[in-house]
Amino acid sequence: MMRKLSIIIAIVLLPTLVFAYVIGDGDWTYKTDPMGENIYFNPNCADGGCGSDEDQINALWQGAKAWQDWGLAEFEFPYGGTTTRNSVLYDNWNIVFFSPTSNGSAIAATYYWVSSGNMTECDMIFYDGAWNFNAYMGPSYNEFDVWDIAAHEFGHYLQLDHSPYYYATMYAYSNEGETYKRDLYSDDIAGIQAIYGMQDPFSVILETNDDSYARVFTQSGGSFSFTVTAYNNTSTGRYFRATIDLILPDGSEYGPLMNVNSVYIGPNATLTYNSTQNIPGGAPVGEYKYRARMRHTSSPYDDYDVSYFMFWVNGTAKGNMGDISYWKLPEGNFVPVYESQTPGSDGNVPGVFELKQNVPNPFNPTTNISFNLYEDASVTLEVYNIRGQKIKTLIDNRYSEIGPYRVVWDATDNNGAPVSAGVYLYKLDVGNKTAVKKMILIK
Amino acid sequence: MMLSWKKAIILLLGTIILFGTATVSYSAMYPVSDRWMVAHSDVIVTGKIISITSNYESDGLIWSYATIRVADRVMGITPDEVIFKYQGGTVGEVTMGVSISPKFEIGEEVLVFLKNADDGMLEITNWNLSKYTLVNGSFLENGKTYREYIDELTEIIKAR
Repeated sequence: MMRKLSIIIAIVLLPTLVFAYVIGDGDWTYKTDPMGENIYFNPNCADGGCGSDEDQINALWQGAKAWQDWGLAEFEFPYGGTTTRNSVLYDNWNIVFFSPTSNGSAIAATYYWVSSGNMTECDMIFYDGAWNFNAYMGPSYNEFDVWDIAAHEFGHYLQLDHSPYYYATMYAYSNEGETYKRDLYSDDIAGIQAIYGMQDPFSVILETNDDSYARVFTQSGGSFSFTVTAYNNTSTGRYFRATIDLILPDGSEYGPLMNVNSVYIGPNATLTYNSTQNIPGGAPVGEYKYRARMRHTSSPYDDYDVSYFMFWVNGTAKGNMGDISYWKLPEGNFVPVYESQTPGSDGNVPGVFELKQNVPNPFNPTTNISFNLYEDASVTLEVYNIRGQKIKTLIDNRYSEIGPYRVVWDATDNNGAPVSAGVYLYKLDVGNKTAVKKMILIK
Repeated sequence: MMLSWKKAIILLLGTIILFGTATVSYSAMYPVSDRWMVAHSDVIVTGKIISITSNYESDGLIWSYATIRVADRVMGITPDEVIFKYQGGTVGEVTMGVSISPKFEIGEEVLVFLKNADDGMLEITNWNLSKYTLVNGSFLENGKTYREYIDELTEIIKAR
């Protein structure tokens, strides 16, 4: 009897003990576009440690990206640009700003407006009159880290309340010099997925390569580099159509600038593409939406997922787009990082090897990567970040005999330095065969 | 491990209290001492929240006005019922929330730190840190018993 009772208690308590996130009054899920509403930043921090406007915007944006990149949930923050607005009023503007005031011992606050359960506006205020903030090179002992505080406040923006876990980004208190809230904790991820759902089975993220929030050009032209990362979160390989196009300042669609009809993505695989976009001189002035689409091959007008960021062209001339060839992307640049991947239905190569999903996953601070060799071969096992940059070599071209193998990764790079939380890929090369799997490091 | 019925029920209730109901909310707040809270307050009272109304005010924000039936006056001279204001609330279909503002509920027993506002009303002293919720004779926010915390605050007030 007592044993049964213990089991019942364990079942009742388990969800509460594992996750303790708290959800707020509303959410943004009614928006057809993820999040739907642009966010505008006012880089008016007066503290010396805040650096330039760009430093401030970048630190704020990193706080948002903590959720966007590592929340693995179905939303994105659309950045709208800068503003000089500085009010928390219900005025149809979502803004983030620094106030030269103090308000008790508040460091920052998020004001939100909800109508019938739907978020309709959100503003974020940093009390710069009371505290020293730092947005440049990390905080000193008497400064609050803008990235760290912004990550916490953007959790509120998404309508998460506080977590009792000290290591959670949504933990209630903050102190000077603190930076650990920059990275999400498992409780944060569970909370945000509870509100917005997990990412689609197939998803794509488009980012500029310098991690910046936006690009601003003059009419003399320019360029930016970017990365498209496509995820297949299922156990089945799939072909998709990859398209990049533009929404012009007048609201019309333009392109495609790149279109690949049939890209294969293996089960639980991640593909990363890099290229550079040319902005020809004389382009029309205004706001452009740069868009990557992961689309069905059989139904080309349907998207699995869409991701975008904005860029701006400033100037005085009316301008025109010119010939589309000036905008076109060279398709040759859109090559999967792991071209040699030749997976079977489960991502492995039958008769040669079997690469298993790491355990635990997500993990911290270590995880086990196991594989079976079915023939003697030279083996290389490496860890990459989602940009395709090699982080760690765990096995370097070592001749290995048939059998099971297990390697522990301690979340450090080749220099022994700890790596930040996020999505990583581990790639096993056996002879000329390769398999890749995804793993998630949480802090 | 075998649990007795009594221990099992205590474990169940304790865990629900700890994780299930303690949605304490102090967003991006710098933790300050009781001495700081006393120094920045004009009134400290305990009691039961008996009504809450919310309105749009001239500053364009929604403010709520809570009435507390006073049980103990820890600091300041007050009538038997005190009205205090705080940001946030619901008017019609619209809710304005502030991540650092406390939420009050009718029937709650609380200790509140209050200060004089510019308009002559009382308002909460320091956002979420102004509210202590009394559950089963202890405050959720610091785990202290009612008497223990009141005595500590009284000592701080006397020492000023």
